Amino acid sequence: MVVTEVLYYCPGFKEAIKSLCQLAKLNDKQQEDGAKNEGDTGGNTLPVPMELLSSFHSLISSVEQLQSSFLLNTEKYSDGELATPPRKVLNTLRQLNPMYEGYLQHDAQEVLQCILANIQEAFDNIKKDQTDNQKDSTISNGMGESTHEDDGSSDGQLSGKRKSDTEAGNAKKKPKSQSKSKKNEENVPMTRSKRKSSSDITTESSDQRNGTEEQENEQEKDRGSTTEEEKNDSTPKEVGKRTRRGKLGWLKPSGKQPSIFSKFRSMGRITSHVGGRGETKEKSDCSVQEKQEKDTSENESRTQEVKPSLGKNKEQSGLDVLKWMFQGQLVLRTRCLECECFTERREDFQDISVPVQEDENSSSDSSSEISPDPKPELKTLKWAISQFASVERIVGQDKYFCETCHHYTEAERSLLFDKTPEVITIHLKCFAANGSEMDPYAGLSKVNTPLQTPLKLALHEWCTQPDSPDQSHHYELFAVVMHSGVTISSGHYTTYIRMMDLHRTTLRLQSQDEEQDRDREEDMKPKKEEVPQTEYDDGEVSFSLSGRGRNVARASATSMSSKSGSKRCSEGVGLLGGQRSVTSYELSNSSQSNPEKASSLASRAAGSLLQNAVKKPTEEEGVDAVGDGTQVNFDLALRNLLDFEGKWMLFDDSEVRLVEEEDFLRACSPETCSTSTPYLLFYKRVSQ
Amino acid sequence: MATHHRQNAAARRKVQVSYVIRDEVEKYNRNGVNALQLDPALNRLFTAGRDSIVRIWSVNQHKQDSYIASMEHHTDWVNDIILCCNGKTLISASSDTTVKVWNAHKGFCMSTLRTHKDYVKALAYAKDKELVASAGLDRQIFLWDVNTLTALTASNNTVTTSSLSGNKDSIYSLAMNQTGTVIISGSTEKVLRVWDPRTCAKLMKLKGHTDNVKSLLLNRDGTQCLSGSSDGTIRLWSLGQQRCIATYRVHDEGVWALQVNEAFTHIYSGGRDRKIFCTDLRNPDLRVLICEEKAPILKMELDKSAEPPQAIWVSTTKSFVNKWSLNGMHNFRASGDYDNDCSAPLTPLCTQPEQVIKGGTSIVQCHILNDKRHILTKDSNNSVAFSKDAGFTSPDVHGGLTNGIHGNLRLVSDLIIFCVNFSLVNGEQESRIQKGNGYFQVPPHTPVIFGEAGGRTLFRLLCRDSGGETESMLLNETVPQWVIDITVVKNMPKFNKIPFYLQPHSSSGAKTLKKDRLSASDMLQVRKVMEHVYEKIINLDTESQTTSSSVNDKPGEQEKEEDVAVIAEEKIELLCLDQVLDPNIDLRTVKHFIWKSGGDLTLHYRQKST
Repeated sequence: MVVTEVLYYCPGFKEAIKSLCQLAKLNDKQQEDGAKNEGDTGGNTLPVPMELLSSFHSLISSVEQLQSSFLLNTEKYSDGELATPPRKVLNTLRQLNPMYEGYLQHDAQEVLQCILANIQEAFDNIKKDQTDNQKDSTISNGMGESTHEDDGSSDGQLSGKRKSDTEAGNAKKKPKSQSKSKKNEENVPMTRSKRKSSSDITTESSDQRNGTEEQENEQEKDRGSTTEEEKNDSTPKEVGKRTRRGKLGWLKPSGKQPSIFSKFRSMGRITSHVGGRGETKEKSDCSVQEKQEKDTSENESRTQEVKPSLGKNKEQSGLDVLKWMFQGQLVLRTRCLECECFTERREDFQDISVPVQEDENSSSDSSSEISPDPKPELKTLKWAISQFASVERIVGQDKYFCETCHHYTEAERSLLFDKTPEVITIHLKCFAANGSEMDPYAGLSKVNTPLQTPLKLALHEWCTQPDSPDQSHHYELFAVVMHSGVTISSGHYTTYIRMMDLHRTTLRLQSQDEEQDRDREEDMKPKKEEVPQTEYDDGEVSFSLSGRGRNVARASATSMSSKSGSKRCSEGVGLLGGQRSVTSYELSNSSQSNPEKASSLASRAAGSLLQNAVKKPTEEEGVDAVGDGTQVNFDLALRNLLDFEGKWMLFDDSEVRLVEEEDFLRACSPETCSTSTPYLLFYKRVSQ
Repeated sequence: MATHHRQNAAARRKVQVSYVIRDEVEKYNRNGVNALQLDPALNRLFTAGRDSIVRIWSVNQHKQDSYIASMEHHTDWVNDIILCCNGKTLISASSDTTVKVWNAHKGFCMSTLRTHKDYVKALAYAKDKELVASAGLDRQIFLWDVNTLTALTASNNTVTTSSLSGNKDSIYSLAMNQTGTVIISGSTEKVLRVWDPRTCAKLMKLKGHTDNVKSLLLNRDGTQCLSGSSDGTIRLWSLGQQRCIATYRVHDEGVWALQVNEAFTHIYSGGRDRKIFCTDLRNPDLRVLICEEKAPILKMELDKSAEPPQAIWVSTTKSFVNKWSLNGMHNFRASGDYDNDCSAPLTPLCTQPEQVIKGGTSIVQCHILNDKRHILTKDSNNSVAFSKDAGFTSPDVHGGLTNGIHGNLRLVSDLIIFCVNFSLVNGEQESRIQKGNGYFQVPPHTPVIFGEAGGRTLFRLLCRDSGGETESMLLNETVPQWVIDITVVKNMPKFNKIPFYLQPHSSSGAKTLKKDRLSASDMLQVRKVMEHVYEKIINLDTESQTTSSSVNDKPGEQEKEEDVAVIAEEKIELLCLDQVLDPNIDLRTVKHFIWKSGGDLTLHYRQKST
C-alpha cells in the first residue's frame, strides 16, 4: 500500500481525485434522480470502481488531515486495527479483486496498476454519465443542480439504512427544487448555528444559499423519523454538502482555464494574497478549494451563473486528469530496412517495466565487441530504458513482409514515447521467474542487481518528437518504492518521497478544514460510540477553534482505531492539539536519532498549526479568535514546512523519517549490499 | 481446412514446387532495379532487377530497341552485380541466397555459389587482383577469386573461399579498393568494419553513423572511404587516422547510392528523397542538384569514360532506368555558380533524362478465384487482368497452395505462383517434365522452381529443358516424393478430410445440439450426409420407441440401407447458407461454390415439409 503514499504526493493527484469524486457523486445523483422519477428504485449500489474512487477520496482527505500532524502515516499492511482510511480502500480493492483478500504482501506495481485502472474506469463511467446527463443538467435549473449535490453527499457514504432515508428525501426534494422561491423565505436554525460563524460574516448572503439551506432543512425534516443520533450526524453532513458545492464552484470556472493544473500552479503563486477580494480572491477560492462558508454562498451564486454554459469540456478537463498525469502513449514503429517506410501502432501505458539485468541470451550475444565501450558493470536506468525501448530486428528466417517492397525484408521494431505523462512510473523488473516452478508467486525470485537511479531523467532519445516545444522530456525523481526481501510474496515495502511544492500543500491543508467535516463524518460513522458527537459539535461553536478542535477529534478517532498500531502514532496524534502538538512530537521524535529532528518536529507541529494559521488570512475579516501565538506559529510553521522542500522522507509503515539525500542515494545505489532495492520509480515532469 | 494446415506445417521444410507464368521473352524490367553496371567497351548496361532477371542493354543512343538479352537464373531479387575480367564475367548476388557467375557476353550462368545463408546484399570488386567479395544478411563476407570461379566446371566444382567474420549485424554494403588491400562493410550495426582481404585480419571499426550504412566507396589506394547511411548523411573517413573527417548533409532522407569520380573529388549521391546531388568533397557548400527522380534511388552508375563524367545512370524502385546528362555540371563548375543558398529550393540541373530504358509493369496484387484455376491480378499501372487457366487443379485437394499471395508477390516479375504444381511432372519413370498432362498445360518456357518452403531455392529449370541429362539427374534428386506419388505412381492424393458442422435448421425449431465438429472426405456426396442425419440424428430421437422392432430387422439389412438413403432424401433436406443442396454434389463443391468463405463449413438439416 505504500503506493498510496506516492499517489498522494503525485502533483495534482489529490485534486484530481477530489474533483472527480465530486463529479462522480453529482453524476450518480443525477442518474439516480432520473431513475427515481421514473419510479425505478434500482441502482443504489455504487459500481465498484466508483467506490474505490470515493474511498480513495476519503483516504486522501484523511491523509491530508493527518498531514496536519505532519504526515503520520497510518497506512499499514498487516495491521488489522488499521486506521479507517486505508482499510476502506483496501476493502474496496478486495472487492475488485479477490486476490487482495487477507493481508498478504502484494506486488506494489500490481496494486498501483489496479488502483489506477479502476480509478480510470470510474472516470470513464463518470464521463459517460456526464454525457448522458448533459441534457439534464443543462435543462435543470441551478436549484435542481444543487439538489443533486445534496443527494450526492448522502449517497455512497451512508449505510443502507440511511440510504433509504435519503431516497425518501430525494423523492420529495425533486419537486421542491422546482418551487424554490417559496422556500427561500424559510430558514431553519438547525444548520444555521453552524453557518452563522461564517455566512453571517459575509456581507452578501445570497438567496441561493438560503435556498439550499432550506433544502437541507427540508431534508432533515424528511428524516424526522430517524433517530436522534442520525440527526446529529446529519449536521456535519450538511457541511460536507457545502464542501462539495464549493468545490463544484471551483471546478466549473476551471473550465475556462487550460487545465485545472495550470490553475494549481498559478495558485501556488497567489498564496500570499489569498485574503484579498475580487478577482484574485475568486481565483484562489476556485483553485484552492477553500471552503469557507462565506465563500460558498458566493461560489454558489457563481455556480448558478455558470451553469447554463456548463459545457462538456469543463468536466472533461477534470476527467482527463488521471490520463494526463499517468498515461503516456507509446508508438510501436516497424520500419522496413529496405525501403525505410514504417508502420506505427500506438498504445497507452501507465507505467513502463524495465529490466535490471541483461537477458541470458542477449548478454552472451552482445559481447563487448558490439558496444562502443567495454560495458560498465553497473547498469544505469538509461540503459534499462533503452532496453525497454530497444530496437528489435526482424531478421533471419522470419522476415517482415513489406507492403511497399512487396517482398520479405528485414525490419526493425522500436518502441518510442509519443506522449509522455506528467508522472512517469518506472517499474524495475526485480523479480525473475524460475523456469521450473509454476507457482506464479513463489516462483519469482528477486534480482538484487539494482540499477543506478538518477535523480534526473531525460527521455529525449526515445521520443517521437524529441524537441517538441510544448512538452518537456525532462523528469525529476520524486518517489521511490523500495522492496526489501527475497521474493515477491514476502518482504517489505517502504517509500521514499521527496517533499515538493509544500507551499501548495499548505493551501491544501487549509482547504482540508472543510473537507474534514465530511471525512470525519465518514470516519466517525463506524465508531460513533467511540467518539462522542459533542466533541466536534463544540468545535463548531467557535469557528476559529473549530479547525483545531475537529482536528483533535479526528486525530483521536484515528488514533483510537489504530491504537494497536504504531505507538508513536497514537502518542502523537492523541495528544495533538494546538501548540501542544509540538511537545507531543518532541516526545515522539526523541526516540529517533535523526540530525534533522529539530526541523522535522517543528514542521510536524507546523502541519497541525497551519490549519489554524492558514485559515487566518482567508478569514481576515472577522476572526479574532486566533491568538497571537497561532499567528507566530503560523509563520514559523510555514517557514519550517518550507524547509522541507526538496527533502526526502522515508515512509515505513507508520513511521515517517526525514532522510538526507545522500542517504537516500546510498539506499538506492547499487553499491549498497542490501536486499532493499528500488522497485518503483516515480518521476515527474519538470519544465526546462 | 485444418487438416491442410497441418499438412502444410509438416511440409514446411520440405520441398516446394512453383512455377512462373510469364512471357517467353521478358523484355522489360518488371520491378525496381537494384544494381547497374556499365561495360564501356561494348557500350552495354547491365541491370539487376527485382524481378530476378539480369538484363543486358545497349546504351547506344541511336538504337531503337536497347534490349539485348536476359540472364535468368535467379529466383528472387538480384541485389548487386559486378562486371569483372574486363567485362567478360558478371557476378550477381541475389536474395535467393546465391551468388552466380555469368558469362557476360553470352549471358549464361556458369556457376552458382551457395555459401550464404540469407539474402546476399552486396558485392565488392578489386580490379587489380580480380577479387570479388560478397556479403549479406547472414553477416558473412566471402572472398572469391574470379579466375577460379570462371574455371569451375561441373566436375571441378569446389572452390575455396576465405570468409571475414566478426560482423554482428546484417551487412547492406561492401566496398573494396582497386588494389585489394582494404575491404570495408556497412551494416545495421551502424559501424563500418575494415579488413585486410589479404590476411583476413580485422583492421578497425569506424563509428559515427546513427543508422544503417547502405552505400560505401573506397579510393584506389584504400586510404579514404565514403559512406552513405540511412541517417541521411554522407561521411568521409580517413582510414589512416581511423576517423571521420567530414560529414555531408545534403539529403533529407537516407542516402542509398553513392558514386565518386575517378579523382575522388566529387561525390554523386542519391537516396530515399529521390534527389541526386553532386557535392565537392573539399568544399561541401559547392553542391549541385542534378535531378529529381520519380522514386527513391536504388543505384547510380557514373559513366567514367570521360573526366569529368558526362552522364550518370540511375535506377529506382520503379522499373525504368534513366540516364542523366552531367554536361550542365561542367558549365556550373566553370561559372562557379553553385547553389550554396540552402534555404532556397534548389532547381535541378536537368529536368529530363537524356535517355530512358523503359520498364514494364509488375503485379502488385493478385487474387485466386474460387475455382482455384483463375487469378485476378492488379499491376503497378492499376490495370486488372484475368489470367487464363493458371493450372491450379484445386491445390486444396492435392496438398495446398503453400505460399499463396505472398509467394505470388514475392517475385513480382510476371505472375509467379508458388503453388504446388505436381502436374508438371509427367508420369514417366525419368521424371520428365512435359508440357501438359491430364491436368493442364504450361508453355515450355515456364520456369519451374524447387525450393525449401519459405527458404532457399534448390533448383530452377525451364519446362522444356526437363528432358536433358543433367536436368533429369537433378530432378531425380530434388523432386519431392509427393510429386512422384501423384505423377509417377499415379496415386491419387489421399482423400482430404473436410471438417464441417451439422446443425438443425433454425426453422425446425429443434434445439441446437452441441457443436460437434464432423469430418468427412471432401468427395463425400451430400446424399451421404443426409443419410447420416436421418440415421444418427432424426432416428435417434425416435429410437426409444422403435428399438425393439429394429433388433429383429437384421435379415433385411441390405434392402434397408438403400431404403434409408431414399427415405432420407424424402424426409429431410440439407442446407448451406439457406440454400437447399442437391444430394448429388460433394462437400468440396458445397464448400467452394456455396460456402465460398474460409472457416469451417456449416450445414443445416431440416425435415421436409410435406
